Amino acid sequence: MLEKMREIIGEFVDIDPAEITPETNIRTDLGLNSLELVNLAVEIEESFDVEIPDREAMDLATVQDAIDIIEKYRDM
Amino acid sequence: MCRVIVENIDELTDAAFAAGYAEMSPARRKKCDAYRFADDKKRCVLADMLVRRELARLTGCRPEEIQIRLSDTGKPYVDDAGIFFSVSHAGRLAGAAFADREVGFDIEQIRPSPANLTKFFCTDADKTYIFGALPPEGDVTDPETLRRFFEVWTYKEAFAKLSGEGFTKRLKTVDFDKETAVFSYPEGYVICTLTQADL
Repeated sequence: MLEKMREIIGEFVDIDPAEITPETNIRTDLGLNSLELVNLAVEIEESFDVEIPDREAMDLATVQDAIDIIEKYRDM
Repeated sequence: MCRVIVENIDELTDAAFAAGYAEMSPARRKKCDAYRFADDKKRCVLADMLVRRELARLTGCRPEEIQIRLSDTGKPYVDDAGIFFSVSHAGRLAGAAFADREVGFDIEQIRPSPANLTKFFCTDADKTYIFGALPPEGDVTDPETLRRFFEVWTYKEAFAKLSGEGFTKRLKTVDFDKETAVFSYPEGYVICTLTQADL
């Protein structure tokens, strides 16, 4: 899942996917503001076929958080 | 009273960046250091500089004496009871609004965006305002529709910042009301300023 996440983020932000780790902070390391974060949330929803509750989308901090959320809602 | 200041990071010289960086609080410097990309660092420093400069002008202190605090929800403020401000940056721009009452301020760069983003922050009335109907599939690319999309987004962000609550579900229950905000449209951007008196 990290691989796919790297791919998505790599298309979204001008960064080498290999540099993205679970600890990568989406706001500070990637410099995303609220709108970009929501954009990324939608991209993740579509790629992983999950529905992320709005509040949790806005609370995403690290790549690991995103992975955890996908796993949480994918199984539902 | 409400004053808006917007500046461009392309006009920030290396010397000005260094000076602005040196004036920031340790916490703010740490935040700046955490940004990976140079443009994010520049936006961080420029926003801090112009806030300090204006607060210094309003209070009679020196810029480096200004203590910018953060609330539990991350909203910046100063101890002076009569001064409120809100900061934003996007693309090449960084700016802030200063007022004698609570204020919310947001800058966004206009870019094609997925129409279904509206599910995060729009009421049905908002969607009608933006699209004239239900959100279409795919990205919003029509310039007029995009402009309306970003008017609503910046309004909701400004509202969230004014209230200090941050981005919450409540934004989907508050209708966009263009009359209550002040918008400006530098080429490629939408800027929204909202003060408490307007709501």
